[in-house]
Amino acid sequence: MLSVRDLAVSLGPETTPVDIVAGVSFALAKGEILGLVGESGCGKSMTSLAVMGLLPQPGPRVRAGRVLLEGSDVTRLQPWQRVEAGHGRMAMIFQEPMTSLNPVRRIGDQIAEAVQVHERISGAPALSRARELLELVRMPDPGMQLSAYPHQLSGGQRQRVMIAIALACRPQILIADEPTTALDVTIQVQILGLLRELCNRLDMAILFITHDMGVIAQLADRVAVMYAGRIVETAPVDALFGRPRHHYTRGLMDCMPSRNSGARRLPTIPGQPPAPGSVTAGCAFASRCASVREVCRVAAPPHTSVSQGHEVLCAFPLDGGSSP
Amino acid sequence: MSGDVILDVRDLKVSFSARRSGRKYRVQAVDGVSLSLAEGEVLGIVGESGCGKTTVGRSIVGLLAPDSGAIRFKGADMIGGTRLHEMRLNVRMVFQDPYASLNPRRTIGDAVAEAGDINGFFKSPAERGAAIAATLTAVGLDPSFAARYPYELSGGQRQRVGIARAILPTPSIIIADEPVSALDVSVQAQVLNLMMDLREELGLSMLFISHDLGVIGQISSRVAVMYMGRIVEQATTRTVLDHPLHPYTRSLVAAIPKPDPTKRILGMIETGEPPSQFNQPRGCAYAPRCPIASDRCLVDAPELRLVGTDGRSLACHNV
Repeated sequence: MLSVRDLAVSLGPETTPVDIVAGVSFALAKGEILGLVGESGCGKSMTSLAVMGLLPQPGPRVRAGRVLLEGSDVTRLQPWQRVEAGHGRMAMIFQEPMTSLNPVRRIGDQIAEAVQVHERISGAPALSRARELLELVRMPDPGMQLSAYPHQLSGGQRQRVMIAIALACRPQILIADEPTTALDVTIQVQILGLLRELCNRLDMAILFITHDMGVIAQLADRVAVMYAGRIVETAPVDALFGRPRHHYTRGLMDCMPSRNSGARRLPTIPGQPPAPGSVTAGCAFASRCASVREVCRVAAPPHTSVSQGHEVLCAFPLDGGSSP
Repeated sequence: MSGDVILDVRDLKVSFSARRSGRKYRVQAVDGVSLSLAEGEVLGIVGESGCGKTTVGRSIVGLLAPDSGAIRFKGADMIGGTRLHEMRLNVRMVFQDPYASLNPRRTIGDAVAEAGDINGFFKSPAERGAAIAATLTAVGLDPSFAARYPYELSGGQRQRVGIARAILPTPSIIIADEPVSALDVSVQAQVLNLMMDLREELGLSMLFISHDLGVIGQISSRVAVMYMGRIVEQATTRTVLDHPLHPYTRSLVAAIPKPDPTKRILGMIETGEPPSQFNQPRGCAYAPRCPIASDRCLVDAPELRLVGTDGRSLACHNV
């Protein structure tokens, strides 16, 4: 349904661009949840904004690649042109719902506004559609909450409102950028459960962006791991957690405290990710990789398919056995 | 591990005034918290936003004035005591946000030496420079960082500076308030390892405040679980993680997203709506969300009491 091919997003002048996202390719099927995971600055948010056509202007731009929605390239379209085209509806939710909502307008009106952008209906039916949407996102007491202001809601309820607004356009694809990072764990589990339920009920695909491997393991069907602007490993969720093949993926899993409770020291990945543009040759992870070889520093790592649907960007992938 | 009690907090109460819909409210952020920290021990305080865990930490270092209660450091009163300066040098804080907690216009060296400067700890500039260099080295930074400014540093490096600030001169206790929450997991692991190393080398005691039970499980030997200003369960970390008894602790432990796709929990646990500080129930604060609440829970707030033989305490009528 959605297919991203060799996407590159760059900053800086046209003549000497610095790629912050490079060679990113993935596909999203109907009703599927794809988790895009990585640490700060790896390019996961830039990828999602590029797909949505929401890259800040002026600033980063799509330098190369295509974003195909049901076969047509949307990278050259403005968001309003996409709305008019009416195909391949996509919507997005963000990390902090409070900054995404208008603090001085009732939430019913804010949802109804989103409804009216996409459907030519008048105020009253738009408001009753808003109520339906609040029911759909399992808002407690939806009729009452229509007239509430954002500050009267809890963080979890605000994120439910944001999801309701996103669903107003009946999206086929929902892009969720760290939607539960600002929430407490007991509320996070509710919102993740809601997203899974909506995905199944509405046959909607979700691109879920997070830094949290635990959240990915709970929610995603497939996972793409990003490092320094590139996808370094893609796999079905069971294969990724059962047999990680990229050294970075393995390192990320090993340093999670919840996988190590009881250990004296946590395993770490030495150093820190490279600044954009600082790696000109070889693998971007080479300087931190425990199994680095000479060729890794000079030659770009190849895409290797290690099993059905499991790809890794590494010349010497892990064999995927038990701990080294 | 266990030694004499170095920090003792008794029946701490802290409230804030707030205004909502034109009415004035008193929000009881901390409602009778008692805890004690043994020499060399790491005690974790875990809870969700608004439970009062940060308020407890800030009250202990004297950044907030409690309404009532006692805080004793090695037996001496820290509230209204006479040796406040000495205590403040001995009980130091590491803050959550390494971006907000460093003055952008002061060098790293000045930031690290600040507590020593204020207290006339250094006898000469040479001694001061040597102390800064040694402290930076101790937290895994090159001594040349002393001349740099915060904007030149990554988040992990800044948090190392935050820790360096807290260990010069060497304190007895560190209150760490979500010290790794703003960091990426790979950097988080580095900083947690550093804190464990320093605790051992310098013989520190630590109060480690976090919302993350995984992090708490890694670093602390005992943990107190807070909900709406009160401790609801306290026990060794292993006991709390493996056999939580309080219904809130149980839901908190169950809600941790386990990094294992074969153990999925979505749609399988009920956690209820979070509480509001403006509408504190008369009885147990957790009762409105609690699956095992009885009539008594709605009117009678349970006291923390010892249960079993392993030093666990619990505030629940029905467990």
